[in-house]
Amino acid sequence: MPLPRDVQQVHYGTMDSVEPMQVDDPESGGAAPPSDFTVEPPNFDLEGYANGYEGLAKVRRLMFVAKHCPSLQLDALRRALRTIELTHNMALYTEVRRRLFQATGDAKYSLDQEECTTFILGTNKKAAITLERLDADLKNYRHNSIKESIRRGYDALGDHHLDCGDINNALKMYTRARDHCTSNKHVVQLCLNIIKVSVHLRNWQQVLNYYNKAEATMTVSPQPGIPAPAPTNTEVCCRLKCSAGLAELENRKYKNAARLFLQAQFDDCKCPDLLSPTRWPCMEHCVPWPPSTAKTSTPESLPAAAASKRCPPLALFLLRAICSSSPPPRPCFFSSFKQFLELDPQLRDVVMQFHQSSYTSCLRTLEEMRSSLMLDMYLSQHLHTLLTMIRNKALIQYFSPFSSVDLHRMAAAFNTTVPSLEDELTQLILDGQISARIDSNAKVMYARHVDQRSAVFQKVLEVGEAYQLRTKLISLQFLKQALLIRSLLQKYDIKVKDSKEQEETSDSNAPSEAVVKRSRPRF
Amino acid sequence: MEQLVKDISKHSQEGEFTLLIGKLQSSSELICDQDVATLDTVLGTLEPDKHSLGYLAILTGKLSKPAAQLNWGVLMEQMRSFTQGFTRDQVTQNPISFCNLFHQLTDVMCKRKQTIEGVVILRTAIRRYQTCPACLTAIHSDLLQVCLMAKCLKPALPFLEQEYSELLTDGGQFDARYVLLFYYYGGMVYACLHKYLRALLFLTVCLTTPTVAISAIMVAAYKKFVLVSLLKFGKVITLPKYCSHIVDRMMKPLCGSYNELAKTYAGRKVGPVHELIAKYSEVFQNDGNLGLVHRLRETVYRHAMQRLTQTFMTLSLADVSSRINLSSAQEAELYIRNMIEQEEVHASLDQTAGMVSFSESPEAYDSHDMATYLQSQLQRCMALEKKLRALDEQMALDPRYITKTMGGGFDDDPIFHEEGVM
Repeated sequence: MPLPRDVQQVHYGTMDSVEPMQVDDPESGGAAPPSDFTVEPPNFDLEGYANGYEGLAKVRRLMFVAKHCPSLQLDALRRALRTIELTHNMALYTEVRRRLFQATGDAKYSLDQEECTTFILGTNKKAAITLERLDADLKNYRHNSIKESIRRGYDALGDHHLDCGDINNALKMYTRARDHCTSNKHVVQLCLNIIKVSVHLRNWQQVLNYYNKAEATMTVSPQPGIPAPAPTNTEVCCRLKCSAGLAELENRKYKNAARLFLQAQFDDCKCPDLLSPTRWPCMEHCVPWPPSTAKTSTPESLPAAAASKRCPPLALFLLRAICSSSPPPRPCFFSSFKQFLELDPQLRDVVMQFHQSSYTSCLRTLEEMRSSLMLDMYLSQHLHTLLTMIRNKALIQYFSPFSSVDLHRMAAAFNTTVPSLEDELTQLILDGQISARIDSNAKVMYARHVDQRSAVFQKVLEVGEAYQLRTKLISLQFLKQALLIRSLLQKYDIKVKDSKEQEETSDSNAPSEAVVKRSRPRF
Repeated sequence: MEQLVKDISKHSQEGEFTLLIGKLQSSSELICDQDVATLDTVLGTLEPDKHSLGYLAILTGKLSKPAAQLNWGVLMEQMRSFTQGFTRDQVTQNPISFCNLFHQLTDVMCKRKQTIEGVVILRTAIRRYQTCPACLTAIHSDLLQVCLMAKCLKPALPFLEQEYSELLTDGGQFDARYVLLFYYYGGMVYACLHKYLRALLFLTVCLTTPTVAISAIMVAAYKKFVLVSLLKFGKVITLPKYCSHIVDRMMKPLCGSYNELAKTYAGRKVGPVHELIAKYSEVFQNDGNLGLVHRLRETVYRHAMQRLTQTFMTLSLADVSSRINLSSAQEAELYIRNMIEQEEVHASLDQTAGMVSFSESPEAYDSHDMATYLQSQLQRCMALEKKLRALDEQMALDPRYITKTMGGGFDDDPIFHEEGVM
């Protein structure tokens, strides 16, 4: 039989358990992201970065920067210290102080300093007093059974715990408020609180759960007679989207994260304890970039933005939007994103260059930005993956209009050598993202056109073989089932008259009926 | 003893087999106590065709003796005459002892490693014991075992290629173990013959047996399944959905090193695969799978080479050897030449330039042969489908099935009883 060699690929089940040609899955290959790296970004504006955030997020981010960037360590730690002094979070205070002491060796920051201990004691006492007061209030409210005040009491307690740095208790308090929510607004508020705490706990699944819950509640029509004040509503929306986007990012669902971030409106982005748009460089590949940008975000909006949005920066995530080949989002999202982009001219340049296919400069700028991007708390783990994806997408896009490409020129365009380019392309071909073949002798890549007709024939033969095997297996199953039934019958002490499989001859019906009458076949 | 012999001849003549069986069972100890010489004389007086049951009992007694006392030649002669002479009707009265005789014989032969003669004996026994050629008995697995030990696989092939549609269940006392063993050994036989697809079929049958407990046979079958599937497809195929969940839950964790091997193999990097094989070589040795594993080492190169054909049109031989981790360009050339000859890859070698150029499959699917082949496949599929549908109907009309789907509660209803189920 003149069988083509590929026919022997038979599919037993519906899905294969292991992908045939998977070498290094880029998504899971980054399973051990670099956690102890140091970068020295040039021109990193720590003050601008820090001013965008508030509260616990600010401290955490500053500590992250301090950990990974030795040159900015002192500055970051000092700022962190100043911020913590305003809160009641003494555990974090001692931590930061200790680090500062280690870094500088300056006795001023030592923990044995008297002023330090008195300060800590004082703050703790203050915190304890507030806690007592809030507790007493809550007891009072509960005694009076006024739902609204009970809920507010729990919320206040939760806020206080968060301020003290006791995140678990904060979560507990917020969750307890759930039973006392009376209106949709309350439910949404509850969800927001829990999301806030879960982000700090890095419990992304919970964030997503509560995001879904809040979304569901908000789509329900508002209660009659109580019009929701419009700005707050959209602000809440935006905040929800940001948190959900962050959760998806951490779960490595980049496409979803991109979509969610896109839905956040620029004007309403007021969540200083979470993210900020000032450094929201996003790469919007799918949407065509209109060369004549109608500058809606003109210079006067920039200071307005700077003034009102003192929000913490979330850097560069929509890089993934580039890599996704999803259909372009609706233009209404795009306009608000242009405004985000205006805040970071470097990234805006990158996006423009990508669209204009000048990959050399685009990728070079990205590489330069890499070190400063690594300092973002949430992004650093995914940065490598995202940048690789962008690069791959650039490669694919570069090749798409051609039927053959000279590898030397391509390597020059992508700032790499021919052998490494060959490796990258091999990987892409095997993943199925490029349909081409490489002529290694002449260093040319040819696009490959699959012959549909022979592909169909091949598939037909494969399916036929698979079907035959499966059917044979199933008919053998019948045989085995017969065996099982017989052994069960024997258990119930019934003899089978004939050893052949029944129902082939009509006279075997009589004993089978007798079998049924006597037995209680509880298989 | 003489009394026993007299009883045997009397009852066999009169056809009172149940009585005879009872007497033989009660005097089994007596038989075992006798020494070999007496048993031989008794066997001399009995005739296999008239006194099958008695002959059977005495032979069983003889086999239970320690091997040193037995005269092998005499024993074989007696077995031969028995298998050629036994009367089927008599023997089916006591099928368990009949099958057990052969199981014991196989054990003894395997211990002594003198299995060649057993092949003929078992083959005759099966052919005469079956009601029809499509009938699977408990002795089939013994035949396969003996063939494997004797490394003489040809006699087993006709039994393996037979399509079985019934099981000889010996009055409901059939042990499922022998079905499992049959398919397990069958898979092994085909794996030895490099017929991997068929081997996979048999091993899958073994693994999809409905079960509620872990069976050592199935675990061993799973290990071989993984290896053969890697050899053939380069990845482990999923088992069908109706496979018992016990396989997934309990057996797979028992085969840790095999699962790891499958994962590494899927990466197609030659180095890690070799390392893993070296690391677990003891485990493989103990399971008796070392031969398959060695073959796997070779096929890694082939699969890696096939991957190259997907991405490159031409490649220098030096590049090939570096990408696949071979030691030199000459070795790469050798591999490619072998693969071209076996039609695993479509390529041409240019020795002067040291290049190999891969091409697409030249099959254009437009020849007369291809048309005939397609036609024959279609016919086969349609026939199978008809058969499957017949089986399905059969099952649907089965009274037990109907009772079960309607819920068992009707049993107490007297009206239901009277009218019968159908």
